[in-house]
Amino acid sequence: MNALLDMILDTLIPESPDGRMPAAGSLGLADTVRAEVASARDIVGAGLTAAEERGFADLDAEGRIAALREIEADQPAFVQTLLFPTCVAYYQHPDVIAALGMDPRPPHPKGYELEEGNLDALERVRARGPLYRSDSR
Amino acid sequence: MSDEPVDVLIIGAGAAGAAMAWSLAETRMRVVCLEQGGWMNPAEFPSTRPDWEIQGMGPFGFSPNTRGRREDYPINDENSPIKVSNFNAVGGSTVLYAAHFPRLHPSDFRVRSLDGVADDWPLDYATLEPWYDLNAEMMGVAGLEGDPAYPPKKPTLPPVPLGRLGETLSRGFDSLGWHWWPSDSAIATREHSGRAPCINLGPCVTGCAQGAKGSTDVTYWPLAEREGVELRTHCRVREITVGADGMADGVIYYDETGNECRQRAEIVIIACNGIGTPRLLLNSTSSAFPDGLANRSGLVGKNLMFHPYAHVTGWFPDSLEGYKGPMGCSLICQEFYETDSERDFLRGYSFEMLRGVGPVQTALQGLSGQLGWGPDHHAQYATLWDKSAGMVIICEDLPEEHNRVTLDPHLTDADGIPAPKIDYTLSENSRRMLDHGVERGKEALTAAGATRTQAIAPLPPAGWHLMGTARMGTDPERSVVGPHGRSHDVKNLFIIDGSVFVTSGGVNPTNTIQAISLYVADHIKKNLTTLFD
Repeated sequence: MNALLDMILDTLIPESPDGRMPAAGSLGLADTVRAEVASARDIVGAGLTAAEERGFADLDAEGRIAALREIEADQPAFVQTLLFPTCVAYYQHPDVIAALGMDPRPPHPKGYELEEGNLDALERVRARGPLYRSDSR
Repeated sequence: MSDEPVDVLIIGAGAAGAAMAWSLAETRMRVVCLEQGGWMNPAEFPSTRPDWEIQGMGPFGFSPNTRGRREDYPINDENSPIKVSNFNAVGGSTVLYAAHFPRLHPSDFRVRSLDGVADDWPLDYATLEPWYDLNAEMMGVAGLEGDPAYPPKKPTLPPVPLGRLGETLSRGFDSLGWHWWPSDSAIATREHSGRAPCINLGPCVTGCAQGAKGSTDVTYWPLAEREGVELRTHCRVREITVGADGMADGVIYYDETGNECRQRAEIVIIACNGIGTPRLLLNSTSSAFPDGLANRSGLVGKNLMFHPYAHVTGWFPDSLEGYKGPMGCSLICQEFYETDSERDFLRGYSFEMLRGVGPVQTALQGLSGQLGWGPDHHAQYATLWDKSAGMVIICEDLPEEHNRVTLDPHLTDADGIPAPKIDYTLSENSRRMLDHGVERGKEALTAAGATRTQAIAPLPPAGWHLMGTARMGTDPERSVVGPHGRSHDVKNLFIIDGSVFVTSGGVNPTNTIQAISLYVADHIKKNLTTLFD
């Protein structure tokens, strides 16, 4: 069933038109997503069955979108259940992070450089004088 | 374990307990601290892991009810629009705080005199000023001198960089002519007292793997232990006991394996936060104190104050590099902090800027309506990724007795100790303040260039600041502790956490909590021979 799930993931998050962002299914996320939705096995199972019944694997990309929209209309919980863990798995995948322009690594230990920023405008604030109230009337 | 009493027993190793322990260490008294959590290992903090964003929603989340750690205790906050956020470990909630480190204003100590509501504190800004200064050195406070919203003060370290995001937002405040200033932050922007400098990891609120953030496990505690303070971890106190003379004589607690233990003490100091402290006092009943220890006023647990928060997000056309840098600390705006008779509410609030979120959080936030699936997914995501900047609005919460902490009749922690139950409603004054803040926040973000804004008010998971439930005062009928944190009812019992706040101000309370702790410690040290008079 992972092959079918990968096709559905590819439909949820397809390759971007410029080819920069990969499709979700192509990253092999099916096992991860399946593990995350284990507690909703019935919902996912029913959705996968509906996809099979529509011959999902044999449809072209536009046909798969149409089929998934039909399934979503009949079983809204199916797409909702898949989308959250798919986004989580997709947007922490190294290939996706790199495609977004970040180093595909955790923040620590390298950290990031940060611009100090321009503090010249604070002269205007400073020139207003004390803004706090006295603690006596 | 010996049945000998220790000189001082501190309950809780968070912001207040750590400062107290360090300060008392020089007396060479035998000081013991009991902490229900353990030491955190910075190498295991989320920012060291590829799934760092998700970790912040689970094991390092704000709510003890969802984290599921044994060290935490559950909190029944169903009857409150604001949910409690705290953490139990050496360092307490400073392990997960943002380290935004402002002081209260002078006017915050005189709310009754100036605005005719709530009560005045029995101490003032000038009294706490030297302790704020000492705490700045100990915690390593970064900031910029000269903020006209405060009396003169001198931060220890250079300010946290604004970054592209902070600079963008500052232009919004400038165009409106409003106050703004780089945040006072307990973040080591340079090496400080052996702490490595901040490297802009981002998610400070899931623990600082770099050790740059001033949580008390890396500031006060190493020094206190070196000076001889004994810190016992995974020890959860059930109750404080009293002797025939009406003085506190020790505690009963459970150790890591659940064994019931007893520790006697000459002085007991409670530092368990605005929820944990009333919980412990209310659970410490005896014939002398049938309604809970130190509760002859009936005010233990009452006057609970959070800071009602609003969150306003703006989306900008250009990348802001918002995932870089301390997420809660860049700049603060206090244009609307002091009472203005032209407004329809009393007191005021602060704006604190937030940085952006990472790729996963961007997607999950987008799923609430801006991000769908299918061919448009990437185009929609591109309008969200690294394009958002946010701010929180921290409103002063005025004390009301019906906002309170009691003991839940059914819910218990892992050791069977009754859990706290929260009853809290948002006041009309707070609602008006939130409404004002949201509109002004949207105005500021739009002035900075945001093309779209969105607000949440009140922000449900924002019960970070826990105050007022064992208030300070001079009148034993109207307060729980005196001006030096000593219980009116029990002469060797002190309270030093946010419980003692009389009013809340409109800023993060940790700096003030620690300044009070250092002030009380100084009083104890200078008055040891007459302390129980």
